[in-house]
Amino acid sequence: MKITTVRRINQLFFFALFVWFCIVATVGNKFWQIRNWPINWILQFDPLVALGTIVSTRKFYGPLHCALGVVILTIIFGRFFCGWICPFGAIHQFVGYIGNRGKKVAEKIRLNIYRKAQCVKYLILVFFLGMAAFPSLASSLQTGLLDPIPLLTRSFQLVLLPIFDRGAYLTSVNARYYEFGWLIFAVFATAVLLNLVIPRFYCRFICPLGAFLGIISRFSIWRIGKTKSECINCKICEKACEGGCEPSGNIKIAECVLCFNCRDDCKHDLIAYQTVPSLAGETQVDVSRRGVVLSFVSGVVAAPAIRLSGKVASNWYTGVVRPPGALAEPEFLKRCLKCGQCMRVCPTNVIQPAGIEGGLEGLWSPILNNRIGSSGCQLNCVACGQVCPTSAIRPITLDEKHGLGEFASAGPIKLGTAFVDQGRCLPWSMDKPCIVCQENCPVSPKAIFTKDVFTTVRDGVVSIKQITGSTIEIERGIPADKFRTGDYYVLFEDGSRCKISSNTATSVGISEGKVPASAGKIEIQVRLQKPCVDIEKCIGCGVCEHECPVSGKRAIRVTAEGETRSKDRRLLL
Amino acid sequence: MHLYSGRARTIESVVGVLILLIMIATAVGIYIISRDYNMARFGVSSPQESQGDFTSVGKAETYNNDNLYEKIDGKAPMYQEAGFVKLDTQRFAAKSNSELGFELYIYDMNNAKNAFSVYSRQKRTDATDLNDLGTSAFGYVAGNAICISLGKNYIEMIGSAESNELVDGMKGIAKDLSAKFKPTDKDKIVELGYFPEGTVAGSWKLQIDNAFGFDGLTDAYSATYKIGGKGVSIFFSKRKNADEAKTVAKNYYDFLITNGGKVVTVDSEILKSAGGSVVDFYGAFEIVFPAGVFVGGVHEADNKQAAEKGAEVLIDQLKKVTGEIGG
Amino acid sequence: MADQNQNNLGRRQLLIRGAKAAASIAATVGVARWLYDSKGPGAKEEEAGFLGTLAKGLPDFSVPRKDGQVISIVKGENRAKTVSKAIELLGGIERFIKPGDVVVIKPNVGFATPPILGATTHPDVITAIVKLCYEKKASKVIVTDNSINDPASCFTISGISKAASAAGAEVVMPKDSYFSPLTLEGGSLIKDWPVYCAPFAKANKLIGIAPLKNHHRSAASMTMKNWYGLLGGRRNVFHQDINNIIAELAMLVKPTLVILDGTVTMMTNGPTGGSVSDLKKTNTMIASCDMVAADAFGCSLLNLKPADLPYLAIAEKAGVGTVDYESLKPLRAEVI
Repeated sequence: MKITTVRRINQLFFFALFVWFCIVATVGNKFWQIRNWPINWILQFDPLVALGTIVSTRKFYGPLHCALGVVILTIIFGRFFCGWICPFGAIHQFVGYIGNRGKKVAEKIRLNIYRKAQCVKYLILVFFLGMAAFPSLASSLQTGLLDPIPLLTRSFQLVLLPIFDRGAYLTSVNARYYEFGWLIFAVFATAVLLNLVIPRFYCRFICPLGAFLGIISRFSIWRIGKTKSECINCKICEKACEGGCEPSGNIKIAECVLCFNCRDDCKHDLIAYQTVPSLAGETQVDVSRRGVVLSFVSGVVAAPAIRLSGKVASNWYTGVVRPPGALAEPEFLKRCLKCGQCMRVCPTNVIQPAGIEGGLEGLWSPILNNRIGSSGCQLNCVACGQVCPTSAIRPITLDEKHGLGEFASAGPIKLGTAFVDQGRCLPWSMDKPCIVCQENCPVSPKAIFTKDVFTTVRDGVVSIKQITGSTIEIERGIPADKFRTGDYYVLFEDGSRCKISSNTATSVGISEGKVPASAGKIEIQVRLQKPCVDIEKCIGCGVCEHECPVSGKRAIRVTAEGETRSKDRRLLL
Repeated sequence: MHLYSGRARTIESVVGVLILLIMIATAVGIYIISRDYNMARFGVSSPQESQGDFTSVGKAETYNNDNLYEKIDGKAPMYQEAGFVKLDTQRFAAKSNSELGFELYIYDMNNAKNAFSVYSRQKRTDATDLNDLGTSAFGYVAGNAICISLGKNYIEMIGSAESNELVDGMKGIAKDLSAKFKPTDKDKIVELGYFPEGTVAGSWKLQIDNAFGFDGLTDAYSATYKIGGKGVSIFFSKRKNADEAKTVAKNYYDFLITNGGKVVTVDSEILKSAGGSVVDFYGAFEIVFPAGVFVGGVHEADNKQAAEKGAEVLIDQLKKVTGEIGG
Repeated sequence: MADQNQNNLGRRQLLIRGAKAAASIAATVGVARWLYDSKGPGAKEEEAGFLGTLAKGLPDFSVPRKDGQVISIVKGENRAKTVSKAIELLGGIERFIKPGDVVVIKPNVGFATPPILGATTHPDVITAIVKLCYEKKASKVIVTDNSINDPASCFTISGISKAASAAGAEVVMPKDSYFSPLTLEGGSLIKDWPVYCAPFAKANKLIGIAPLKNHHRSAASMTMKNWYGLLGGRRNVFHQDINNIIAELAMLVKPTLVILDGTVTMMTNGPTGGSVSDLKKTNTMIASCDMVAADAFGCSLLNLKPADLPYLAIAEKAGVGTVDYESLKPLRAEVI
């Protein structure tokens, strides 16, 4: 069996596995739903996820230990991950293959030559690590923007799956919406289409994970190389070279992705996977020390430069409401990969990829948008923390979320606080009865209470013409049937009040209470229940905001004030 | 044309096969891991509150007199007039298929009569009785639902679908619940034994007050009595003594007449001598009579002859019961 | 022969590379084990400031108590004279400052208002105290506060910056990094809250100097309320429970000495005032080792009773001091 065949099967397997894990990231216990599928598995053995979080937090988060195995195997065998496992690599390889199928051999060889620009990915890696390295300046983990596994996870979970599942809804109950999905898609599509220019463009020039694996493959025991220093120099070995590592000449081991195509293609069997370096010699990738230092320093400076916005300090944006269990903002930004797993698993679709409202570094990080999705954050759901691969959202229990049991002293986790916009609220500003937010508040006892008041409606003072039984005929015309909803009352001059059960243009009928004997004028009043938020009870789940009938800019909105994850945003003692 | 040695080719194949084996093992491993799951970690359910083949979904909720309407809205007064204390509810989903599930309602009605009253008054016409719940327990299956009167508790299980699988599961839980809330001797409703032979078992109804719209008729038990393949609805209400029974019978008769009933001649001698009356109430026949310490009668019969026949049997029976229990 | 050499070379290269690979693996595993964190972040994962977390509470700056020399009350218009006299009555500055001491002076520099409005500590008192400290060979005197308004303008406009510098003290403006989360043992409000700690790190004496002011939330702002300036973060949340936070601050801070400047008292519209008509000449300077007693006396200048300030009773109950200042036998004097 040819090793290249085995490799393709392997790539197909891991790609299928990746897609499967994307599909099953739906809360539910059917076999095609989440149950205990290790949906973060591929993210967890991505060594750049581990490296990035280690650099930013100085800690090696337990569930990422699989990455250690990949690192060790890479040190021994070389960049097998890129050529054999990476699902993004598999896509690039496939698209590159399709895109260049008909080309002449010489053209293919020309496409796969080693280019100096392949050093760029090392600079990208160093830049990102620089951004994460110094918490005292500002540490921000941005590897997830270009790390292929988070990038692909994000692209599948938030873009491709919702597109292809539209109408079928196998992976969700309703259509899913992701506000910055188009940008995620643009990045993904660009990366894929670049294969038509140069095969594996992303892997060769951009991928920071490939760069990291390239660096650690430097001492690999086994390596691709020529078994003789001289050959006829047909360069046919580079016809399908995936890494662009120049196996025909001085091979660049750091660029070799172990595709074995050169070994397969060499008509003279002069290429082997062996313990001796290529007899034609090896050279290092052309990365200047100056470039590395410059990139690193740029990264180190870029992080605090981004923080100049104050978005992680006093100028924090109130709309950045993070999912339950999210760490305090500086710690959160050290861990979030922007992989989108939380947004995908969220049963209500309320978790969204952010734009740059929370600062440039918060791009695609999870925030709650109560206008999207089927409801706010559900009281009895902690799925987002369970799927977060780096614990940027901690895996909390329901007890912790509700502040029960051992968490009683800490109280419930608050995502923010609901504020009533009295200028937009129907009972507050428009004399229209409405208690939708109060009715939908899931907290017990309810965090929304109402202040009941009677207000005379516009042009509601009318003179009585005649009283017959429980019907009062009046002088001036009023809108027929408008006041019979049970919310309207008649206020008599003696101060007594009766509920209106029916009304015509010239009369009102009373259902409860007694009509006073002498009454010159009446006032038609509406009973309003004006919603107020009890900030000690409100957990910021956003159900009220979601349900508010003022459907544009809601009349009750949750903002991050009072969130428990950061002390400086609390409202109460 | 490859010149690799046979050895190199063998190694290549062996390594290839090994890698594929590792891959297959990985796939199997992942599948095995996936099968061992606990949905509680997502907050979806908590297994400790599972019931048989079902796991609870969401939180248990409790309602009292103040907020019962939040759960059952307009039906609340019916329970409250019958002595409602509290309602506990919890949703369950089948372990095998989370689409199937039911909501469990346990109404604490303070005593067995109250519970039986709300049970019997809501009993569905297409119900199939559950007869294996033990003594003094009543229950039936109606389509997707199971309702049980169990001591002071009235229990409803409202299934999410009309599925045999689901109903069978719910029946199992009904049995578990009947063991858990086992009625005691004082929960026994002796009055149900006063009905004459020929009464359709399970057709009993108890109206605590305001029976048939008449507020003077309280604790009225009614049931279907079979005569020649047809059923008439017979009823009785036990009073303190024979005099009171006579008064209530007279008042009920007056109530019928006041509200538009027409007096009809009584054909049955037994009924006549018992002091009973037959009233044509907008096309249906109502019979009322005192019998010992009981007020008895027939309600909404469409056949006068059958109604009188039923009344005769009931008079006989109630007099007998009066003799037995003393009055 | 050449092949042999080639082979040997290859083997040696492999061994070296193998050793490097093994070392890399060992190093990776070592680092991974060292940094391994199986639990993940807890609920309270917070970034430590530049200075890290200061252990528990602030140091105790107080000097041994001497009965009969706890509080002194001096009448007079000239602040420099009255404050010197008041300290003299308590046993002279040598009782409080030893040669080589690093002294922190905490005035009230809460607002960017001129001294004439009485909202901030008067610069004359600062000058007098700094001079006294240096007379007794204090090695360094630091004047600092965490102002509500922009610190630089507060220190400048209040005249404190100029007065302190002229007398040779170092003026320290607050920075984010100077705050460390701190928890008051037995407290319910100061829990893991950022407190202005860094300036005290190397100090061994602390003198609080407060103006006497009416306060909208707490009725009066005096020596105990002055410590509010040590709170960082969004401290205004504590206004919801002003009495307990003042009492807790008094439990947290154990100063060497407090000075309450009642030369001019802000009778109304505190704590900012804004008009001289809010002020009244009361011509009194208080020096005290007991903050509760000083503030209890201060009430009388505001026409209040100690019972009007619930935090006094709370602090007394917590053992901070004595409300009944007369029982301490205040030392009284008058200077013209």
